[in-house]
Amino acid sequence: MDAGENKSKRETGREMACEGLVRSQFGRRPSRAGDEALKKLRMSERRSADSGRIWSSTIFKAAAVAAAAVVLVIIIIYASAVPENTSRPAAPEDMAHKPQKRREIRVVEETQEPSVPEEKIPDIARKARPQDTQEKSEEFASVSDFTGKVRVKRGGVEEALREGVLFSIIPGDTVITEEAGQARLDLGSGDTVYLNSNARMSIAGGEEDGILLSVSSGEIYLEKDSEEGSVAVETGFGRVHTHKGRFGLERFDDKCLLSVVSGEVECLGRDENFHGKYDGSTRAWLHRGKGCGEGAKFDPEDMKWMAKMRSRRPHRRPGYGRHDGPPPPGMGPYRRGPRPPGPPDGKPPRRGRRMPDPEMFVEVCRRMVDDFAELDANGDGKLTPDEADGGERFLIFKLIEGFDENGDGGLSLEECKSMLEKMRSFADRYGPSGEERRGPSAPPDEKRDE
Amino acid sequence: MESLDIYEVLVKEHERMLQAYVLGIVGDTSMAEDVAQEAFIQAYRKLSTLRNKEAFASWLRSIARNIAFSELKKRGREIPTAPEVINGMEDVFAVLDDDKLGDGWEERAAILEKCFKALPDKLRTVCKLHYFEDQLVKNIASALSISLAAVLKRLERARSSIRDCVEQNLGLEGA
Repeated sequence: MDAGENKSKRETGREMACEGLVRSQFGRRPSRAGDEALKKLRMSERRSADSGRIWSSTIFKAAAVAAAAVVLVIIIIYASAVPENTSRPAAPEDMAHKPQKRREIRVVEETQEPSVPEEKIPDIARKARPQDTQEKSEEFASVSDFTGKVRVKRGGVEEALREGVLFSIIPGDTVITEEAGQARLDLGSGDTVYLNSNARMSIAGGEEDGILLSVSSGEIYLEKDSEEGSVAVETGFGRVHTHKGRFGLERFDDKCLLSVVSGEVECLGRDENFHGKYDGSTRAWLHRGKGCGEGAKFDPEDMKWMAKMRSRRPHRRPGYGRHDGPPPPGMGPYRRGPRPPGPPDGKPPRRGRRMPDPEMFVEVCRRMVDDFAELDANGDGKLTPDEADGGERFLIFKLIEGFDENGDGGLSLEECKSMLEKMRSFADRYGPSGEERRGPSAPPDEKRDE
Repeated sequence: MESLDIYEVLVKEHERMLQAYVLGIVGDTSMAEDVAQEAFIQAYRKLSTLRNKEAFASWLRSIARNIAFSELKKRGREIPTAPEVINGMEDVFAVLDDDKLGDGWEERAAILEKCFKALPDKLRTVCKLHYFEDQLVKNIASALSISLAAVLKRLERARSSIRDCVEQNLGLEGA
């Protein structure tokens, strides 16, 4: 950029400043921004103090911590025990699909507009499209290693990764690396994706024989060494996919650089004229509206960041690492197979484990409904994990997993009320001991007649 | 005295400066209010990270700038992210931060009012209608019975004249 251009830009900046001064009538134009900000801050501080008192109340704390540990078990038991044909409000079983729906919505938000018309996409890539992942609920990738700051966004909530913890990734998640952050993702197929700093990659979806990723900024490197399935990456300027190969993608605002290190990689632009097939040591640009350009030779040794990242030894050990206490959401053991089946229909909980008193959950839910305004520290109309601490925080995470019906990452008052109803119906069914109440629900007089 | 009471003093002191700054970026009064409000809230929450207390004004502007850019991006509007553009804005506001020019910010800003008053009538009228009264360019054209292009040209000339005058008055060197 020459000096003339710089000067012109600086002048533009000064003109903008002058325009702002004139628009504000040299500081005379009334503004309520400061007052409004102070009002909000005062309100937030007051709520925060109030909610601190409620969260820390002994009864609530004890109940919440106990509930946190078992609420998920209850939901599973309830889901499997209540017969489907009885008239009842929506059970957690019905809601079991809710998080998946939420994921689907998030996929649409996070995934970029497909750069390739539907009919142009080959079967391999189409199989991995987001709409096909609705039924996919198992974790199929994990962040096995990272340096610097790396975050995972799930359901509108961002969680920073912690050292020594294997972070399971599910469809709809977005992995974000910050400045000086790098991450390594192990896909369920045995393949690996490396993210360089300032990268943002969404896990759009996956099926048995294909995974779709979406990169919206920064640089990634994919090693597809396994024979299993294929991996497709949506860049916004073209879709790149391979059955077996290694390639890097560097996403800029208006184009994307594809660097094929080995194997065969296909790129699909908007138009057949802009499709491309590349093999080892080839570099090509993907342009907006043009698709995949012509390949040119390059030296794979240029990709030094990736080589350095790859030389690190990843955390292979699944589990929670050295941290004590309950794992944060999403930080579960890496699981590839199906979830273990729940108890058989109509059976009480497994022997040896006494089920906690369902009335306790009703009490917790009731307190949440009654004290909603106080618990909602930031006043945004929903309870989110960051408004609570410790065991309560985990409880909120777990309750969101089961009861966040609109998928906004928090529990609104309506959702809390609905949750209370479900918990009440659960308590009515199982009674204080956790044992299922037997016998017909007809009035006592009718029973005697029988 | 609680920390929010202390912060209120800072807010009152910088409110008008911030409004002018954000208006320069977003050019829309209601959006500028929202951005300034959010900037004050964020600044309060991050106050502990501010190392040089003297630099509060420019730190506040940088927070507001980021929020403004993010808002503009959401609305699909062009964002002036070039560092030179930002430096150009900062040139003007950094001088206005100086106490030597007056006690209050309005007083300092009033120094520049004479640049506005010195504009030829034709340019000043268009500026008043557009910037003070938030009239749309097409409405101004219709009210003054001139073409749309003529209104835009007058606004451009007015901005350029004010800029030259401001540079002179604030002793800003050429870029």
